[in-house]
Amino acid sequence: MCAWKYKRIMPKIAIAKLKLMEPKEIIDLAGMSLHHISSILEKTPYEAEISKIGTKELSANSLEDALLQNFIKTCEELMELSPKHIRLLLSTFLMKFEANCVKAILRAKQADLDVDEAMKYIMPVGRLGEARCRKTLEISEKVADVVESLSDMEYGSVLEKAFAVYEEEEIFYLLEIALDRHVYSKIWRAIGKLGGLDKKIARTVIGLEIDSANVKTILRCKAMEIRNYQIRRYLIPVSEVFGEKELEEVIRESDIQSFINSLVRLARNAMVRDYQYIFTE
Amino acid sequence: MSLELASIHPTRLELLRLRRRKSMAEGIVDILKRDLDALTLNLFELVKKIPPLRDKMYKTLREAYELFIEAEMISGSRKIEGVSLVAQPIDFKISEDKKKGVLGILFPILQLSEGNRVSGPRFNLLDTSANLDKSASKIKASFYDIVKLAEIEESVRILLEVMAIKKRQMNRIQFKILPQLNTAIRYIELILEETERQDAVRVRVLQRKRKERALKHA
Repeated sequence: MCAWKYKRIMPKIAIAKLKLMEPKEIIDLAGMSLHHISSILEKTPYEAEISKIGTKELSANSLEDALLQNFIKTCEELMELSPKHIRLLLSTFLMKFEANCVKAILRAKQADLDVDEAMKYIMPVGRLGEARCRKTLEISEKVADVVESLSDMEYGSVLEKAFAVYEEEEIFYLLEIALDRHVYSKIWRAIGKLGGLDKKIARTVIGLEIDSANVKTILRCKAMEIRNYQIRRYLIPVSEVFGEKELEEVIRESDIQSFINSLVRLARNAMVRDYQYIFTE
Repeated sequence: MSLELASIHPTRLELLRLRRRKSMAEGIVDILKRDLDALTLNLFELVKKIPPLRDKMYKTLREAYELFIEAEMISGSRKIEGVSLVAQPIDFKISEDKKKGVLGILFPILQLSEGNRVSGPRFNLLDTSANLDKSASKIKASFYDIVKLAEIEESVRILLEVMAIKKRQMNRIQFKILPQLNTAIRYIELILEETERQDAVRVRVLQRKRKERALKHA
């Protein structure tokens, strides 16, 4: 990793970090009213988004939206200051929010909500601005129309592929899973374009996120006694520690305890692999 | 059954018939009292089942709501709301059957069943936390308690209705039919006594006249 390419971004991050709230301050918010929380947050880097919320509109949801908007804005600012490959990674990372936006549009159509009602659940982001979201909702009558209207974006083709299965099985979240899988695969591919320690760090961070999501999914499915072939459909097939084949092996374990034991064994193997990687580097 | 004194034939046959009716009415009151005792015992048994079941239901619901709030805190309330819009619904069905209980009374049996058994998760697992699964399963479990509670409360209601009917029947016999029968019996007894007295006087007068006639002829 060449530190020189981060010369623009590092001082800004250091300053931004200083402005962040301390963990104790965040814990103290727990016992406060929404108005109190809002007034405290107005003195933090979230000021711009929080101050847009009117007194009557103040709710847990509006605060949540404001914080999320701030997060997206921060990511976009970091993108501008970042080197090329990191910018690509961050823009791909922001696709998670776009995917959430698409999911919200699909849900709203499935639930047959009107446009204004649907917009309450949608957080416009990136290429899916408010106008685009509204237009998509207005011109689409059914979920199939949403898929069609998104055909100019990559989400359209992803959803098209999943739509046949959705129509056959009438399980809505298969569309959502297809989007999640696509986004994570894309992030993973963007990580592949990085080099050296950047790549290692990014693979570890995103890999951990994917692994923990997969492990949580398997544990929940096991608790719900869902069959193995079904569990496979809910997993994200890119990972750092637990690969797709390895996860398929451990899914076969009959109970949760033996599943955890197998995971621990796999994690040890991954650690050994990591150490080997560091030594050879 | 009302007894008009004017319509009663003051005869010995009628008296016997009324006495038979009175003893039958007293027998019925006795049976009704025993029925009422049996029903009361059954009622207590049913009522005893309600508080623990209600406590269990409240506990399950409280836990479910706590888990739901935790799920909202983890995933965000808006996301949970959004997910709930498309969560696969469970089509619950309640089948009603009857069973014979105390004194042959028909009590309802309510059976809750899932019409469409959802084989997989009901929502996207990647967007939600495990607390939402737990909360949903607890809510589902509480439905079974709610239906069981409804079944018991309906049985209690039926039992109370039957008890009220029995009580009304008993009161009617005790405070209406039996006093009427007693009055009628007393009335016939008085008439018969009066008739007996008149007959006795008539016999004595006839005997006296017969004696006087015999003395004259002699």
